[in-house]
Amino acid sequence: MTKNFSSRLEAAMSKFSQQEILFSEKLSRIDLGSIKTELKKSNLKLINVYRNHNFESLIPFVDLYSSYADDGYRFNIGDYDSSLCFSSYNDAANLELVWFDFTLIDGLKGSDLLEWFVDRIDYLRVLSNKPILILPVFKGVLTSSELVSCLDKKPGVYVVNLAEYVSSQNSTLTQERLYKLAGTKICNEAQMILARALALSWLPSFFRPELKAVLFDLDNTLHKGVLGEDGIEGVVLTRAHKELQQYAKFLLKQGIFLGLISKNDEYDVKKLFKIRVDYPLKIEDFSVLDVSWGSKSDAISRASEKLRISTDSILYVDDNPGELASVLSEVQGINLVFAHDNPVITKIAIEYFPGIWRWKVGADDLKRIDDLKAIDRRRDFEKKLTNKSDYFEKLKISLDFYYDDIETLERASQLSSKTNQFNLSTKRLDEIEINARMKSSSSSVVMISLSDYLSDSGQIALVIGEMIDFKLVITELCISCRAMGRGLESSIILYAIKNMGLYRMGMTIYFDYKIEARNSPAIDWLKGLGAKINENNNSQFVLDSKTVDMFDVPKELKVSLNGKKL
Amino acid sequence: MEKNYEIEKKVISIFQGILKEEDCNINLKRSEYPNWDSMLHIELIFALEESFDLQFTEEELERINSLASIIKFISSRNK
Repeated sequence: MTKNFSSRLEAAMSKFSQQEILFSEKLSRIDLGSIKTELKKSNLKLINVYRNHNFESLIPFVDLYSSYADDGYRFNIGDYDSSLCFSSYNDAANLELVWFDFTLIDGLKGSDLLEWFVDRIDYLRVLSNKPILILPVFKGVLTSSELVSCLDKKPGVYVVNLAEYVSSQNSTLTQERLYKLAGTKICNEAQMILARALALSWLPSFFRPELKAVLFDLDNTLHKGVLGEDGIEGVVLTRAHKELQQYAKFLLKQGIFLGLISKNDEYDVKKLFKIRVDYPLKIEDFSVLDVSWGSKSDAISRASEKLRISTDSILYVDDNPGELASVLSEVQGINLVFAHDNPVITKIAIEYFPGIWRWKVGADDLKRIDDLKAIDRRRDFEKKLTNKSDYFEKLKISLDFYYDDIETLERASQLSSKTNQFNLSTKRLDEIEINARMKSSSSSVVMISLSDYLSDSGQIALVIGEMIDFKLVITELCISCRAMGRGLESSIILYAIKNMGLYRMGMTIYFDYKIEARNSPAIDWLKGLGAKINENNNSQFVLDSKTVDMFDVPKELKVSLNGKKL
Repeated sequence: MEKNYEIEKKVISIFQGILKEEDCNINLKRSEYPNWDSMLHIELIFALEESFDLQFTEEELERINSLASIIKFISSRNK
C-alpha cells in the first residue's frame, strides 16, 4: 500500500465514520462540535457576502461540511446593510451571496419592495459577472414566488426560499425571540441545515462538476439482509430502506443514472425485483445492472463505459467498508458513500453529496436516461444496414440548429461546464459569459438538437464563433457524449459554422483548443479534418477554408435552422 | 428531572467546552470573561438549549449575564 493511498484510505474511513453525525436526521450543535476538522488552506473560493442579518454564526458549520467535501471557502462579509449598496464588493470573489431578511425592512412593501430589490440585484450584476446566489428570509412581506419569477430568467442568478427549504428538512427557519441575541432570527438547527446545504449542495454546484450516476450495492444497502442467504421473501424492506429507494427514484427524475452493482446471481436479483412489488425501485430503473461474483471495481469501470461518463462523475454506495476501500484503490476519482445501518443517514449522505444538487431539471436532463436505452437498439439497427446514408435515412436523423437563442442559454452553459470528451477548449463558460456572446454582434452561439427514430437526444452540441482580429475563431465547441459515435460530428460542427452570420466563403477557421486528460475525441476529430496547429498561436488549430466551404450535410439528414425546416 | 447540582455541572461543562475556559466561577459576570464574546455567547445559548431541550424566552435571553443566571433559568424549568 503506497503512502498516498494509505492517507486517502484513512481520510475516506474517517469521513465514513463522521457520516452518522454530519447526516443525522436531527443535527446537533454539540455533536458537530465534536468533529475535528482540518481546514483546507489553499485554492479557497472567495465569496462576497452582502447581508442585513448575522451570517457569521453559520461559518463554523460551513467550514466543517466543506472540509468533509475537501473544499474550502473564504467569506468577505460586508457590514449589516439593508440598503444593499454592495460597498464591500471585492472583484476577486468567485461568487456573490445575498443573505437578506426581508422581514427587517420597514417602509417599502409589496411590489415596491420587490422592484427595489430586483433593481439592487441588477446593480450587483453591473458590478460583477459572477454567479449571484440569493438566500432570502420572507414572511408576509413578499412572497418567494414573486421574487423567484422576477429573478429566475436573469442569467446566473439563483434563489433559494430558505423557509421552504428548511421546512422540507422538517425544521423551522426563524424565531423572533432570537433576533436580539443572535442578530438573526434563524434558529439553531436551521443554521446547521443551511450551512450544510451551502457547503455541500449550493456552493459546490458553482465550482464542481455534477455527478451523473449513483451506483448502489444491493444487500444491506437497498434492503436489510442478504439475498443469497435470506431469500427473496427474507430480505426486509424497512420503512427507511423504502425511503432510500424512493429517493433513488427521485434522482432518476433529476436525470441522474442509477446502477446496481451487486455480488449475487443475476437471475436471483431479477427475480427479486419482479416478485417484491413493494420495492419502489424496479429493475428497469437501473441503467446499469452488473450482478456477478467478480470485482466491484471492474463492475464500476464497466458501468462508466456503458454510461459514457468518467468514473469521477459516479457516486458508489456500499455497506461494506472493505469493498469501498478496494474500489477507492482501483477506480480513479470515484466518489463514495458508506451505506450506514440506518438508511436514513445513507439517504441524507447521498442527498448532500457535492454534485448531486440541481438548480433546475430541464427536458434535456430527462432525455439522457431514455437516450441511453436507445443505444443498444441503435446498434442492432446499424448492424442490419449496409451503408452510412442508409443508416441516416432509416433512422430518420434530424439536426436542428439554433442561433443566439436565449431559450438555449441554460443548456448551453451545462454543455460547456459538463462535457469532457468532446470539448475542444474546455473554457467552462457560465450563463453570464454565454449570454454576453449571444448578445454581441461579433460572436455567434449555436446550439444543436438531435433526434432520431429511436430517441430524442435533445440539445447535444454547442459551437461558439467569435470575430477576433478579423478572424473567425471557434472559441467553444462541445458535443455531449450521448451524440458521439454516430458519425455526425462534422455535420453538426461544420454546418453550424457555415451558417453563422460571421462566416464568409474562403475564410480560414481557427479553433481554440486545450489538451486535457479526456478531450482527445475532439482533438482527434479536428486533426482528422486536416487541421494544423496555428504557427502564430500554438493554442489554436487552423482549418483550411475549403473544408467548410465544400461541406454539406448528407442529404439523408433532416436539418432545420431556428425552427425552419430546410 | 435533573437536580440543581447536575444542572450546574452540565452548564459548566458546556461553558468550558465552548469558551475553552478551564477555571470558571459561576458568579462572575459575562464581561469578566474576556473570551465570552457575542459569537461564543450565541453558541453557548444554542448549545444549552439543545442540551437541556428547552428554549429561553426573549426576556431570559436579555437577562443572561453570568453562569449563575443561566443555571437559575434552567433550574426554574424543573420546578
